[in-house]
Amino acid sequence: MRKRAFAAAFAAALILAAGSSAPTFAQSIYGINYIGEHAFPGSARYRALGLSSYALIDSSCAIPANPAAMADLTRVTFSLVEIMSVSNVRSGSESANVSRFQIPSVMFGVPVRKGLVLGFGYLTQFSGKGDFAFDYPIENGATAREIHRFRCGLFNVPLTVAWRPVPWARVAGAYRIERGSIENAYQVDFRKDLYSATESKRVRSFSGSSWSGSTLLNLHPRLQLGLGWNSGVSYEGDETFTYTRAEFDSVAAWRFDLTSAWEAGASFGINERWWVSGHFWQRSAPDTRGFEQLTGSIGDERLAALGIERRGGGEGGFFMRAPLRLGYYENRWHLEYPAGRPVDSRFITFGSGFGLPGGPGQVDLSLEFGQIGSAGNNGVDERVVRMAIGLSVAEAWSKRKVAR
Amino acid sequence: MKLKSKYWIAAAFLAFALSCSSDPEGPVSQQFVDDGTYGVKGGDIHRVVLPVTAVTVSVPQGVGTGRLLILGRLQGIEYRAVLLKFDFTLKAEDVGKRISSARLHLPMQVATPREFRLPATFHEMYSTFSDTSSVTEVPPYDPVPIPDSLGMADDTLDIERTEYDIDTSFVNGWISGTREHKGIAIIWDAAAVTDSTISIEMKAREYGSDPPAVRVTFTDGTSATFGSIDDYSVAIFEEPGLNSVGGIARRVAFSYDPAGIPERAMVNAASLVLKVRGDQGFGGAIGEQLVIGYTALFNYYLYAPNSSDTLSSGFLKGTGVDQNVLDPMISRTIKLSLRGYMGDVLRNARANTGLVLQSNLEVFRIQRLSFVSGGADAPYIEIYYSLPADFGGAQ
Repeated sequence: MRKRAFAAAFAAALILAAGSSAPTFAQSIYGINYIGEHAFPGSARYRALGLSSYALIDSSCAIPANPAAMADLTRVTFSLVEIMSVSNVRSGSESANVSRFQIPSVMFGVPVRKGLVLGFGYLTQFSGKGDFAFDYPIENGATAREIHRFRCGLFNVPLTVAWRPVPWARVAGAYRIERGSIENAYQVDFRKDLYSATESKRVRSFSGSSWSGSTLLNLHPRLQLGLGWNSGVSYEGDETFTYTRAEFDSVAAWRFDLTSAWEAGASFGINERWWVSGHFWQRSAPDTRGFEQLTGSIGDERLAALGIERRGGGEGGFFMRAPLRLGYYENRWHLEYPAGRPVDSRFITFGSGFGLPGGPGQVDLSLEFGQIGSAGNNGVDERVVRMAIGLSVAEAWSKRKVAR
Repeated sequence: MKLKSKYWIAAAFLAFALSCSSDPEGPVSQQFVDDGTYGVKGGDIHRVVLPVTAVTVSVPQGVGTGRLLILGRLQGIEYRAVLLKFDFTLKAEDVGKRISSARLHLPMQVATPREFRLPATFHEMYSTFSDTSSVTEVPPYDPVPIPDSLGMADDTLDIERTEYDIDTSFVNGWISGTREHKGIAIIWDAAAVTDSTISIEMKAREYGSDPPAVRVTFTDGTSATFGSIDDYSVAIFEEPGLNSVGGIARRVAFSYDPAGIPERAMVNAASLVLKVRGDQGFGGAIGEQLVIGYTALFNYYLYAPNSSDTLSSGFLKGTGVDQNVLDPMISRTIKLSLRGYMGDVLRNARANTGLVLQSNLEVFRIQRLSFVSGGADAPYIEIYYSLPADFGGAQ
């Protein structure tokens, strides 16, 4: 039964990935200006708690916010998180409704012995998408259409070791293979017979690696602390320019850096079911190398989050037993728009979850309502409804017994 | 049931998310592009007009394989003569017989106007010809017409008559071999007829049945028919202006100078713009359309010649640029696409030898497509181009 559930979950993951593979990269409208919007890794439960549950022991999920939490996995666990959002963007008198999807983040956690877990998978770190077009009037009454396309995706493949040396402490280290690409395409199209579109395109492809370390301390049965550090990343790669006139094509070396980040979190239980959690994350402003047009417009990024959870219970009806989650977070972007005016995201989150029928596993849902930027401060604001679904399934692996 | 309700919640959640659609984001992203935050600026987009010099170039050409033979004048094209050649080989049983009468059978099909009667004379040709020859002017012939049985030389061709008497002495000579038969030319006096649209059309050998023939009656009362083995309409075109004429033939050569267009221009559209003079257009003779079923549309072919020298053979061949059909009798402005061609010229992948417009049926049909050559409607080349986007930094 569990094997079937595991197979069904894996198939669902593939379907979700395939379904979102075309218009995949997506986040805020502000994301077109740098490297996209930051996607903080974590489960749908983490999102429902407003990204606050960094210091949270969770024995059922392979995508915890704090990798050290993986040390509590006792089964081979597969986790997936898919995020979708709809938003209304306003700029002056203009507005646009936008819906977006993101490539699912997936992780496997493999216990090699009690308290020692290896993890690997795929985590989206930044993503952005933009398709926008403007009319360009020309003499003689003709009008051309300028069509811009932006695609950005930074992801990493973490290779994680999580260890619980003593019952009250967990540590984790991860080596991350970092990769990404940023594509800017510009087309001129007249949308008439006998007219052809011309295109200029720049694709930046880059890669790097990073290290991270984290710890999760269970100082008291109702008090948990988490600390984490991520090294910076020096991305190296190239930028390829292609044009309708192929003789203009060129390639140049390109690089940019992300500085190191640190984070801390705490959770404490008011009683057995009610828990409060908090999380703070910060990365200092990276150099603007590679994005010279943003000189003076890149600042520190930070996240401050708070959440409260009523954990699942064993008594009462469905809604009495179901977990309830509520959270709030503020994320200050690296991007300042205009210079000196940071872009802030503010979200209220809700969510719940239920166990996966037929075996160990969990389905979590979250809803986020918030705003990115503000008309007064940034000139553009975006009202966002974001949904996330998380799926975790587990299977105890053992040597196959040969029937005699 | 409780398990099912969980599934329904998850399914509704997914369905809602997947059913959302997006508006174009253009207006709300405008300021990011305008103030440079986005980092990519579009290049300028321009329309440029290049003046064109156009001339009509004569390419000596004749069409001898038409299915109708034509005499008359149609939209400036003068069908000056019809040439006929017959095989006077006798059947074995007719050898040694003498001819008592001879008639030239001309299978008339159409007259324009119907009551039109064309004064014409029949002449012995001094030189022979064939259907595959390119005859661009009336070949030399005996100026003394072949008389009829009554000794009259002048005759009139009309739609009601298909038989015309000719002197038996000529035919007896051709049959016996004592008189060399190189062909008969039917000539009309174009100078004496001022009408602009007149024609007599008859079946040619290529029609497939009832060809032109010489029909004779022998003195013993038997008869014989000698069908044509070659026949030809000799057409002349001498009008001024910009004319692409099939069959004759005339081609229009265009030259231009693309100087001033930026080196990095990327062509979105390029067109050769021409104003068609429908009042001078000619889609084909009435008989070609009614009897044979030809369309009146002009099938044009625009090419970049291998040489811009109109006297060289390289001018007659080149790389195709555009081809299509249009009604030559409707006055309108047409745009012939130069999209790929102009891109090649601007990036120096192709030499600028100009452009040539010709009838794509030049060796099959006589048609005329005329253009305004001067003033506001003179030919020109219109180009829309855009410059590459500015990505900033290295590119």
